[in-house]
Amino acid sequence: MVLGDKVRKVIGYTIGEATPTKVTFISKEVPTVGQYVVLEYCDKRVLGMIQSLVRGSVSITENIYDPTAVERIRIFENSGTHYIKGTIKILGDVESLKIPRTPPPPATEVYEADSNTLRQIFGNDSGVGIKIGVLISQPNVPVYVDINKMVSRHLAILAITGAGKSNTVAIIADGIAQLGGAVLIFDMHSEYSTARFKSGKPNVIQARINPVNLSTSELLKLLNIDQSSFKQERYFRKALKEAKRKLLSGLIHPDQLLGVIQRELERYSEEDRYKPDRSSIMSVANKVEGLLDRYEHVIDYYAPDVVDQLKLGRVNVVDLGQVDEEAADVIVSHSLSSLLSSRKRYTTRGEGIPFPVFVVLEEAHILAPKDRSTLSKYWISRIAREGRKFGIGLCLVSQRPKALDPNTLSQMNNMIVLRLVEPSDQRYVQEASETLSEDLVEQLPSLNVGEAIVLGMMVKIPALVKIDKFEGKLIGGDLDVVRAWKRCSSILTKKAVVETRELDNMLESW
Amino acid sequence: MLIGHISDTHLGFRQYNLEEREEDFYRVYNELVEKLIEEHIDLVVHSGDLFESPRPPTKALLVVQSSVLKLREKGIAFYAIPGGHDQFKRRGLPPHALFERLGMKVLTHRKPYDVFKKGNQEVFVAGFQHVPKHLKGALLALLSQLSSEASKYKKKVLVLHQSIKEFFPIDYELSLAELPDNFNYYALGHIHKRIVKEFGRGLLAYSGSTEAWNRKEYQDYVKEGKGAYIVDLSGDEPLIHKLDVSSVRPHFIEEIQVNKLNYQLRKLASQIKEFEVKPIVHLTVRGLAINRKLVRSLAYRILSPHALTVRLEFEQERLIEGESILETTSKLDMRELMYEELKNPRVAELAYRLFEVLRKEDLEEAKKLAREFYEAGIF
Repeated sequence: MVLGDKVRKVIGYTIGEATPTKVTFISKEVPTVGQYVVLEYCDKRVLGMIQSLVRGSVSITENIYDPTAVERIRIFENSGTHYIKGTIKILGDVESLKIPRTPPPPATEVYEADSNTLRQIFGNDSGVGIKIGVLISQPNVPVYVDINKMVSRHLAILAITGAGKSNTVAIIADGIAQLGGAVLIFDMHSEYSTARFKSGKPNVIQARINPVNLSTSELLKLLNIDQSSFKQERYFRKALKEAKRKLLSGLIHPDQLLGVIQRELERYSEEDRYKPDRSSIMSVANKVEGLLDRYEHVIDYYAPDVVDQLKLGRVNVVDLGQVDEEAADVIVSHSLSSLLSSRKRYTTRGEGIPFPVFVVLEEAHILAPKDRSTLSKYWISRIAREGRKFGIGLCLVSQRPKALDPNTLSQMNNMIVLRLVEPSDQRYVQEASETLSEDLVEQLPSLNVGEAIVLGMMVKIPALVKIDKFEGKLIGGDLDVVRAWKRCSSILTKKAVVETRELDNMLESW
Repeated sequence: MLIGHISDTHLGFRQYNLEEREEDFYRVYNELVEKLIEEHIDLVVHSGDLFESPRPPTKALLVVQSSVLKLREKGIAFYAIPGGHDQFKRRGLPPHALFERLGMKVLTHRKPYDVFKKGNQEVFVAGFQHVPKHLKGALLALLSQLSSEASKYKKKVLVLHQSIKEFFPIDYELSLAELPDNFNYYALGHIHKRIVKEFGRGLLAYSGSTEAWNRKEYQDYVKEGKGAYIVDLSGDEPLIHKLDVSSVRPHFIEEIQVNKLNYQLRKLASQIKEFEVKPIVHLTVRGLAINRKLVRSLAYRILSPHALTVRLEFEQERLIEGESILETTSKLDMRELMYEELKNPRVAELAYRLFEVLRKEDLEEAKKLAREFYEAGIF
């Protein structure tokens, strides 16, 4: 009509009673849910999104009980008696995305939003965005997210398994690294350490437990000494104190720490005055030995802190695939606490790590669960609250949102929600997020793999996005089992052939 | 059909660098061959480590040569596989190659089986050289090939020189589960202990080493004996019995405390004298403060005439908790203490002077002192 648009396609008209945020419309076309539309009223072009659609026929109602009647109507009826009705959520005027204070009048024309307008909204005009995909309804419109807003307001990526969580993480991590930022992924399933990013090889950080650096509570967790075993805790603290004293005074080397603790405990167990507690002491000694056995391959008394190994402009990956949940908890909690304190030191005194970090936590429901306390949970919730000020962004990734700590989840102001099937999960996500409307929630089960609802301050308006496919190789996609079997047997045959040749070499023939 | 199974003969091994020890290994081998012939067996299988090294001394080669000829003369087939010791690690010909024309059948991965026929009976004999664990792919492929080949025969024997996890968990190439299960007898080598276990369609056995390759193996010998196995494959189930050697050189293993050393050593010497063959003496000396040089010279002097060799080990004992080495501020006056203790001033003086020279380990001077004292007749 006006304003220089080339092709303006009217797809329907508003009807009935409207509110400033919601209006019903009737259409002659067949639009799609999630599609953007433009309405013109109050001298403004206002953007809206189709949230729900119904399609029906005046003559074929639900009150027909005779199938042959439908058959006859089918012959006579033309599609003129069909109707499409839907609701539009008003998102705001095209320029400022402010919602007009008056509702649209009835019979307002509803236009399809043109791609130029949408490109403007989802584009990268600030220059601090990364492209994560395209609009589902208009694949020619790329969607950028604002990294500043994403890091400072945190992000949650939620979906059932196989819906594309890892792909999304890889796209975002690679994007940040290409912008020259720092991402730190705690990789629970060794998915990212071998991935090939556009930003280069990931900086793989070995998951190591350094008993010298761990706090007492972290050690107690690793030892499985809980609060109810106060006697065990008492003796462990006593032995630890003695061992640390020796370490600080240079009497022992760091790698003797746990050994000294064990000997201290054995000494207590032989002393008469501790006789009544002998079984507690022995139990602690057993636990220390168990710790040494269990974590033999991850204990390293000279391992540097994760924080000291971070690299700017790279995807940093801590490979937790080899350790159990307890150890992962300890490593994550220790890394988060030292990251936070390092960043605090930097902002106050100029020491510590000089760049902001975006931290991705996989399987967040294990690290920050709703109904249990873990070591990481405390630090996750602290960073969720304070991270903004010190330049630490969190990204929680989970396939079981309802098992996630609600306080932490509600701090995640940005969300990428892929396919979620379970109603209780959907409700839970909706409760945690202010911007996820009921209508959008209804979309969640119908999303295909890689399709997501993107919400929060990192996008100007909520969007249904087809997330880009990560080009570098990622493990974790569903395995082609049959092919894997076939390949394995051919590898074995080849191996045998090569090795038999080697045998030929070893033993000459005569 | 009777099969003799021997293994790990390690011919050419010169233990402690002693010629006698090299001879011991030959003697035991010859004894076994004689005994096997007496048992009227139809074939012998040797499951590896016939020689100690891939370059054995000529004497070892001669010993094997004469055994191969002797067995051939009696119409006994001789199957052998190269083991871990007697094949080259990188590239080379095993010494076994010398004996094929004389009648030895050497099984290797190139020719891993043979069918032995006698009258109307036949046995499928399969095997190949020791395969190191980094070539496990080849090892498994060979085993599965042999397993399917074996299914064409009624009686089958598998000869391997490999370590099996279930018997030797520290270092192994195979697990029992990876062995083919359709053989009647598994003649294994590599582990030096005697082991017999029901497996597959019959029995699995390590016949063990034939001489004590180290001190621990002598203890096995005392318990289990050493030698070969005779396996009878005529029935549905194989029957097995031991064929022991008698000429294994004895080892004499003892521990003593460092105090009363002289007395204890003489007592040991009188025990050792009783052996028909000079034994190998392993002596562990324990004590708080051991003068190793002194102990060594005494032990060699007293025991050597009756032993082939004396192997000494020292075990420094640690102070028991609560004990401490006496510490005083003033130096102890040794002479004063001797006078106090011995009363007789002349004896005390001798004791003190002896103490002084012995402290410097000067045995000669001490002898001189003692002689002077004795000859002076002051006592």
